[in-house]
Amino acid sequence: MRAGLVLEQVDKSFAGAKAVERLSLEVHPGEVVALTGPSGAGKTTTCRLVAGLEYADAGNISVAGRDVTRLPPQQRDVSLMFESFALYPMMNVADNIAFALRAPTRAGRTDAAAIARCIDEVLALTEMSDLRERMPHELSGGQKQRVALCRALALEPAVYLMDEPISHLDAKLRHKLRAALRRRLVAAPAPTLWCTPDSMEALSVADRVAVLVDGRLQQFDRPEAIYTRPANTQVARLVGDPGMNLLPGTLVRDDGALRFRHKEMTVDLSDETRTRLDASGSSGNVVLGVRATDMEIAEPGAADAHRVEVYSYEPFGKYAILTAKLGGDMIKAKIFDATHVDIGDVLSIRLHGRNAVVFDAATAKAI
Amino acid sequence: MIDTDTASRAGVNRESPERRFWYPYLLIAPTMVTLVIISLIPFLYTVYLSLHESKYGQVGGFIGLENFLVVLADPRFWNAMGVAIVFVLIAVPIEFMLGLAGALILNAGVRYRGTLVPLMFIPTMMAPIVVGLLWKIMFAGSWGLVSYNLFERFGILSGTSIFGSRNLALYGIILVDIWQWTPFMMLAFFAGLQSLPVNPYRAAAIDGANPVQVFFLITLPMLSPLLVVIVILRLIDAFKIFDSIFILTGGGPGDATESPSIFAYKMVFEYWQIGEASALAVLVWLLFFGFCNLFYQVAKKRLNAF
Repeated sequence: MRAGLVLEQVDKSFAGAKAVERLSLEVHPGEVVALTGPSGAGKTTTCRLVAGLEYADAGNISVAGRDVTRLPPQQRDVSLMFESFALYPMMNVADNIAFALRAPTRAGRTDAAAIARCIDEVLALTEMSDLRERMPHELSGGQKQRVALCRALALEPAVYLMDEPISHLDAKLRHKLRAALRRRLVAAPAPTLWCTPDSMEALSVADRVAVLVDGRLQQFDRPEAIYTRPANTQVARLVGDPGMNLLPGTLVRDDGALRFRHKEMTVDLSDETRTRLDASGSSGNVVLGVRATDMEIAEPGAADAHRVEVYSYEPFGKYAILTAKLGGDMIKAKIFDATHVDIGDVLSIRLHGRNAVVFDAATAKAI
Repeated sequence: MIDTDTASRAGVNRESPERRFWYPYLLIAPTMVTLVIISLIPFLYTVYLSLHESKYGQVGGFIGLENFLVVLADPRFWNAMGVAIVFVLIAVPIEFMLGLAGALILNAGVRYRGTLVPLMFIPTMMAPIVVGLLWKIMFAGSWGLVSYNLFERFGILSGTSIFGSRNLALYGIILVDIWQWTPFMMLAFFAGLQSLPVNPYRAAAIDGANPVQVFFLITLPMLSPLLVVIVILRLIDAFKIFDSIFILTGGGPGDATESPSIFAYKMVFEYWQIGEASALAVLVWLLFFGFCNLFYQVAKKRLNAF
């Protein structure tokens, strides 16, 4: 048996609806794997399957070399941070955190002084030290989430399961905790499964990212690969802020160069892409994936630019998100030069093909 | 008036300020009027009677606390209090424990629960008079179902009813009370268990708590507000027990099962000492008022109930 957390061909359905389908994942000891996907993708179900709150219909789950597929939660030695917090309503913050440390399955591992030290440490990490005597009903949503997080972090389990651990926090604390949590989890010997619907959070905290859509694993790779080489159009649309622009069209070869053509628009593709496409021998209808960052506003009438009509313009300070109509399609561009644009303006947009990903139109898979 | 409901605000704002002021009082008026007529007025009249000489339906002059002193000097009063205290201290804890155990079993999942629950509620739904008659027959001398099988066969109490024994009659009544009121406790606690949030239990499972810890650290604290309310209700109700004793023993043999309510009844309708009887009622009320307040304060502090 392999160390860490291993899921093999795990199936789970609820009343006939498949929640997780043939899911195989491996998280190494000390590794953080982020599980991302839209809501309803099966992230929470996966956590619950590993924790033992649900039992798999088929397949195997092992934790630290031990088959836990049929074991009850008490015997799995997992630490689950509940998306719904699941605090004990009649215990104060400190007791909530200490509860698991005092449980019989962990008895002997921790004495009272060690428990107190552990509580102090996790409370300090989440900036909750002054709230240790509070009752759960006296806490805000974000504070409750931090207590739930403390409770999960206080343990030294065989696997950490973080179900949206920082989603309800304010942006500042989220940024701080994202880095602090990753440092802590990577230093721990146990593997971590970190669920989040926020694909950017997934990319930023994880050693590897698993993208789940409709209960099926779409791609499982390093964050850079997920971002630059999405395996299919679903991953492309999901990952990134905003997601990849997907334009249907055809491939055209002339003079050894490879171009993407969409109505009267053409985009030059990189040599690397050409080599890959030549190897696969595919042609015909494709979908071109272009990152919002690979677009820029061009001077009016530039030969390699395309006319678009502005649909919306959201300035974020350092950059702005421009949504515009290109032919019949809606595209999103991340614009870094501070020009003000109004809705309805007509602009020229230049698309760079250097980082573009080509997907097969029929299978939606990357070529 | 607290304006929280936008619909009511929209409806009431168009009215004159006076109408707005009276509107909430109007809504609670039926309840208040009923309570005043059937509860407050008789209570105040009882207090009035307890301070006056009144015998055989004639209300005489004001005599201060004379009636109270008479009652407090009467050994039958102290006997009645003793009967009630023994009765309450045995019956209610047993009902509580059996009820809670039954509720936990029901909650853990029992087959045909939907059918079982209404059936189990039958004793509580029956009129206390019927319950009394039922048990009177069950314990009747040598031929009652229970007395024959338990007592006749083994030669105990041969020929007499348990309710004819000075030493055992009260325990017989306690048994009947447990039979009648345990289902009420059970169903109240079962409903409470059903309404508890499920997530703390999931967290406890993952945290590795064993069933005993789950019960004492999760279930009991979350259920305690309900437990306290139900126990208070039951204590009050048990202390003023009347119907089943009236049917089963009439307070006898002698005064062995004479509860305060039975004693007060006899004082009024057998001896026509209305003043003293009123004083007794007021005394019992004061006692219970004090006790419930104390209980409430303790529960509020210690259990986070209410």
